[in-house]
Parts: sequence; C-alpha cells; structure tokens
Amino acid sequence: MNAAEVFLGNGGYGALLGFLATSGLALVLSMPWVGRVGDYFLFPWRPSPLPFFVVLGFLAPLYAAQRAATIHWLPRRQRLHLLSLPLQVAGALFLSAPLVLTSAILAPGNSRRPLLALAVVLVGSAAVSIEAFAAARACFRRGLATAPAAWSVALAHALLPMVALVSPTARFLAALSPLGAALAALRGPTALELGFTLVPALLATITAVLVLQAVREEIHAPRS
Amino acid sequence: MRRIRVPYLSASGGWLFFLLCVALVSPRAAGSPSVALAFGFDGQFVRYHYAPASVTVTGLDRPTAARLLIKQILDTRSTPPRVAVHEIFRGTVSNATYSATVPAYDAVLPVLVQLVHEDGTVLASTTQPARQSARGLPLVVIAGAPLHFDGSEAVVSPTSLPSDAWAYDGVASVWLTSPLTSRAAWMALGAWVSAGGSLVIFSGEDFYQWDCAAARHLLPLDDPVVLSSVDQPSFLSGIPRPGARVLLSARGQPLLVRTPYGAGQVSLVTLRVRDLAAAELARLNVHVPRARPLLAAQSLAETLLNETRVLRPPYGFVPAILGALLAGVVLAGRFARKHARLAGLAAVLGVFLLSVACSFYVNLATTVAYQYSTETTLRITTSFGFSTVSYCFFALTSSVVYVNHEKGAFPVQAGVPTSVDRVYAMESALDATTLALPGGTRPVLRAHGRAPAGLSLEVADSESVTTYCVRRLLGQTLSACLLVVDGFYYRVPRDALDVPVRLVDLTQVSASALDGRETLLYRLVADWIGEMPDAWLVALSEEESIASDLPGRAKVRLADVDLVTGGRS
Repeated sequence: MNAAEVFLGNGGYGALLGFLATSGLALVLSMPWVGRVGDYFLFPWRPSPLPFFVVLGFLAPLYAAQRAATIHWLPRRQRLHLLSLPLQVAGALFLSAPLVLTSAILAPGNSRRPLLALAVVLVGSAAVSIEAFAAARACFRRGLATAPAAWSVALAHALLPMVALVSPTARFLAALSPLGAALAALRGPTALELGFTLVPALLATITAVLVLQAVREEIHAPRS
Repeated sequence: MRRIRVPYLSASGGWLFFLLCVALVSPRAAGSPSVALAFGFDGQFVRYHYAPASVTVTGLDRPTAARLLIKQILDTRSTPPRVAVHEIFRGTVSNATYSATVPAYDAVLPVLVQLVHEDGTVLASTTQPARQSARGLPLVVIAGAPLHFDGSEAVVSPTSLPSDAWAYDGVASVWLTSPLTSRAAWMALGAWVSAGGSLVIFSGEDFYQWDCAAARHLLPLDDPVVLSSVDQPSFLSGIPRPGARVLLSARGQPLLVRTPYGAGQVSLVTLRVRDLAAAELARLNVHVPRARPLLAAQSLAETLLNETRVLRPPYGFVPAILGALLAGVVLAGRFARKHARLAGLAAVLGVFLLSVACSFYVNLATTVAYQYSTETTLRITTSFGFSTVSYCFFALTSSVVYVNHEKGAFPVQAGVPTSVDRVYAMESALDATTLALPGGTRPVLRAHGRAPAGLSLEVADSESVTTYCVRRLLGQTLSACLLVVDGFYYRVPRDALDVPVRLVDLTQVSASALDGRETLLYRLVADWIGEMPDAWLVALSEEESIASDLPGRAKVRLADVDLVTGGRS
C-alpha cells in the first residue's frame, strides 16, 4: 500500500479535487470584483475572508469523514489507516495553503489570522477524522454501513457546536467545531476559545489510543 | 474621662484638618461653578445645520484648567446611547462667555453642557431643552431693530452676531437693521454671502456708523454718500456697480438695490429701518432672495468617491492560483499511478512554490483597500475667504474615521438623514473629529473654514486689450481650469497657466462641449456665475494617496476646487 493509494484511493482523489475546487471558488467569490466604489452599491457583495473560511471550515471535516468512512477488514490495515488519517487531512489542507495565504489580503492588518484559522481547522478536522473512523469501525464490527456513521459524526462535530453562537455568553463553545474555531481565529480568538479548540484533539487522541489498543488485541487475538 | 476625651478631640481635629486639606486641594475648591447655554439665533436653529452656541461660566473662584463640552444625544435606543460631543474650549476656564459654532442635531432630548476639569471631574453641567427651538427650514435673522413679517424671525443684537461664516448655515437671510460695528462679524457675513448667503443692509443716516472697508466690498454702490434734504429722510446714494439692479424706488430715489456677490446676494436699503413705512417693509421682503447653499460641493464629493477606482488584486490572480493548484493535483494524480514517489514530490514542490509566491504577493502587494474617502475643498476667494470641505466616506467594514479640521470648524452631516440610524455618533475635539462609521454606508460630512486660496486670477487692461493671468500659488497640477467672463466659458490649457493670455487665445466652450472634469466644475457654478459681472476662474486639482497606517488600507482622494474672482491691475 503506497502513499498515492493512501491519499488518493477510495475516492480520495475526487474528494480532494472537490475540496480544493470548492474552497478556491469561495475565495474567488470573496475577492472584490467591482471596479469603482460606486459599484459597491449596485452589487452589495463585500470582500471578506469569511466565506472562504466558512467553506474551508465546513468542507475539511467532511473531507476527513470521507477519508475515514472506508474500513478495511484487516486489523493491520485499519491501524495503518487510522494513523494515516491526520496526515491525509494535513495533506489536503497543505494543498489549500496557497489559497489561505492569498486570503490574507482580505484580512486587513491581521495577515497572521488566516494561518491561525488554517491551523485550527487542521487540528479540528484531524480530530473529526479519528472520531469518524472510530464510529465507522464500530459500525463495521456490527456489520452495519460505515459511511452514515462517519458522515454523521463529522456533520455533528462541524455543525452542532455552532448552535452556541446564538448565545452571547456561550459563544466560546462554537470553537469545538473546526468551522467555529476558524471563525474565532479570524475574529481574534480568546484564550478560552483557543482552549476549546484543543478539546476535540484531546478527545481524539484518547479515542485513537483506545482504538489502537482494540486493533492490537484483534491482531493478536487467537484465530478460532 | 479625661483620658478618653483627649484622643477623641485630637482625632476629630485631625479629621477636620484632613477634610480642610481635601477641600483646598480638590478641584471643587474652585467654588460652585455653573454653566448656562445660549443655543442658536434668538434660541432658534435649523436641524442638521450649524448653530451658534454661547456657554457662560459663572461661580469659579479662580481660573481652572478644564474643557467645555456640548453633548447632543442622537439615539437612545442603542446601548450606550449614541452621542455627538463637541469640545468648544480647552484650557484655562474663567468666569466668561465662550462662543462656538456647533452642528445642531434633532434635539429631541435636551442639550447637555458640561464643564469638565482636566482630571475628568464634572465641575458643572446643565441641560437645555431645545426641541421647541429646532426648525426644519432656514430662518430669517434680524440683527438690530426688530422687524416682523411672519413672526418666525430670530431677532438678535448686532453685537451678538457670530464671527464664523458657517454659523449662518441655516439662515435664509440676515437683515442688518441696526449698525454693525464688529469687523469680525462683517468678515463672516461677507464670507457667507460669497458662498451663497443673502444679506440685507439698511443704511440711510446710519451709514457712517457702520461704514468700513469690509462693508464697502459688499455694497452695490461705489462712492456711497448720505444725501439729506429737509422734506424727506436721509438716504444713501452712489454709483451702482456693474451687476447691481434697482429693484424698488420710493420718493423718487432708489430704495432697494441688489447685487450678486460671489454665489450670494447683497440687498441695500438706502434708508434706515425707522424711516420706512410698514407697507414699504412688506414690499422689501418680497424682493429679498433666500440664501442659496452650494449643494453641488457635496454632490461633487459623492461623485468623486463613486468614481474612485477600487484597490484590489487583478481580476485573474485568484482564478490563476486555483487553476494552477487544481492542475497540479490532476497531474500528480495521473502520474501517481505510475511513479508514486516522483508525483508526490512534484505535488509537494509545486504547492510549496505556489505558497511561497502567494506569500510574497500578499506581503509585498497587499492591495485591497477597505476604506475610501474623498475630501473636496471648495475655496471661494473674493475679498472674503471662505472654504467648505465636503468629506465622503465609504468603508467595507465598521471602522473609525478621523477628520482633521480647522480649529472649531466641526464637521456636520450633510443633508437631513432619512432615519435616526443614519445619524453617526461623533466626538469632536477642537481640531479633530472621530466618527464611528458603520460598514457599507456612505455618509457625507461638511466642514467650513478659511483656507487660503491656491490660485489667483490677475486681470490687466492695457491699450484696450484685457489679459488674464492664472497663477498657481501652490504649484499644483490642475485637472480642469475654466475662465468665465460675462457668462462665457473659456478652457485654460496648461501652457496658458502662469502667463498673461488674451481671451482670443483661449478656446470658448459651450456646456455640451465640456469634458468630464469641466462638467463637474460647471455644475458647481452654472446657476450663479452667469450673473456675475467680473471674470471668474474655476479650477480643479486632484490628488490620490493610500494611507497604510490604518488597520485596513484606506484610499484617500483629495480634490481642491478654487473659485477666484479676478482682480484688476
């Protein structure tokens, strides 16, 4: 199993292209297209880095779920797959780096914030990939379809914490989602938001350890 | 008992001494100061226009370092309420009257005046209800002997006339019914008339009481003299100036003579007010025009802002980045099937190079501007200097805008806002104003001042040939320059600047033949300059800069319009 197979196999090629194309399109639309100031009143579309990062923060967990949804029946391959998931997410986001860097011109005076947003999306999406893998593997072991579980985990992780945005006092909880964390990073995150950004990563690490332990037990289990 | 009393008494004495020290040291030792506000002309003002304000401070034991603030609450629905604050004095305050000209808002709530010590303590404050005094239409100001036409006139003493030309902003006409002896007030009235004001001067026997150089500039008569006779009151006579028209006559003599002056009008009544019958006063009132504000200056600022080019990356930049990225991934995917390592390395290297290129671009050529502003200065140079600055702002996101202005020349929002949400909170120090600007809005502000002229027009007559020389006093580059003589427009090319030229050397242009910039100038003056007997120069110079010291880059566009009347040599 070579690197190309890990990154591009099982629909990864299409997912990667879709992820990059959609994010890039969002960036293209985020740019100011009017020629004169008066045109801003004719076309009320304001340049902002937000649309790009909303798309990035939403699609990255979905990409992670797509990569985590396929469970190989061999436990050794499962272990390799689990360990490669953060790398796959990191690879996709690395490919989006030119877009993120370009989006910095839309964040006046705070050109480092887009890079911070990229970092928190990476951490959050890597965590989503591990959680989605764990959910998919649990379904696999019960003989159920893996994809719905992986996608559900990813969507829940990406969207449910965003409900906290409606409450001014509980806004920091939105940082649990990669999307919310990206928006907080662009706005200038508080210490609490940065802390909550790391919570999914912590949970994912624990999950990964537990899953790896279970996989190891499966590998070393006596064949019946 | 004695052991208890002694420490008790000494403690009490200590406390008394301490309180005495506090009383002496604290700013409240300045006594019990109080402030009183007089706002508008005879208590009347026009909403969203300037109004003269006088704050009288009394009760100060000694001069105190403090500030005088006038606060007007704009909107109580927001938290905290949006307020317009104007600092009318900063320095050593004593028992005196402090005058200023401040923008008047809707005044639904009372106007608050505060005397604030330099340490922030409010020494005195008062509120004045102004709702009943606020008017929607310009008012007539009678300075001197009272006159009443419809009962809405503001009657003030000539000595209380403000010395800021822009204080007459909401005034339809000023009637000088008693002698005005203040040179500063004459200069302010002259500047206001140059910018479209309407002044009525009663003369007759009182003429010599107010005769001065500034007044003579405004008079429609040359060589004025007071003629007396036994059977009728003394009246002012003289040689009518070019452009002057006799509108009314009485007792065989001209009664009302009117002349255009700059964009405004001066009406001279040749008699004293007490020599006129009520019917004659009513006839005069019909012939006095209303002030004509130069609204075109504000629309010029808006026009220039609307046509300002947006600062942004080239159209194709981001699609090119995206295209290169996708192409790289597609190529890498194709090669991956055969040479996995090589393709992976190529993809990584390509993305790395693309990232580096984007980083360089972002760091070296960040070209998106989030704030745009135009500052259009219209200088009218007659014998009285007057300038009006129109600011037009547009910000993509909510931001704070700083406006530097002449001392005490606070900016005011141009036009009457359509809703209270369109009234912007601002805080004005003596020479700078901070404005909280919501994103996506395009407010226009105007301020006034006495900016010196940037151009001069010299007219010389020699051997029946008249030459005109446009001199650039600041060495500026003119983007449009028109010479207006007897209502005809002549284009002044660049090679005709700073040298005397004859009219035949210049190209006469009709309104339809003017180019874009010249049309902007034409709109500014077309409705009044045709009436003027003198030669006028109308010129536009422009400058554009990018202020990168702000959090979001701002594109600033400066435009100076000079309106200069020709002086003969």
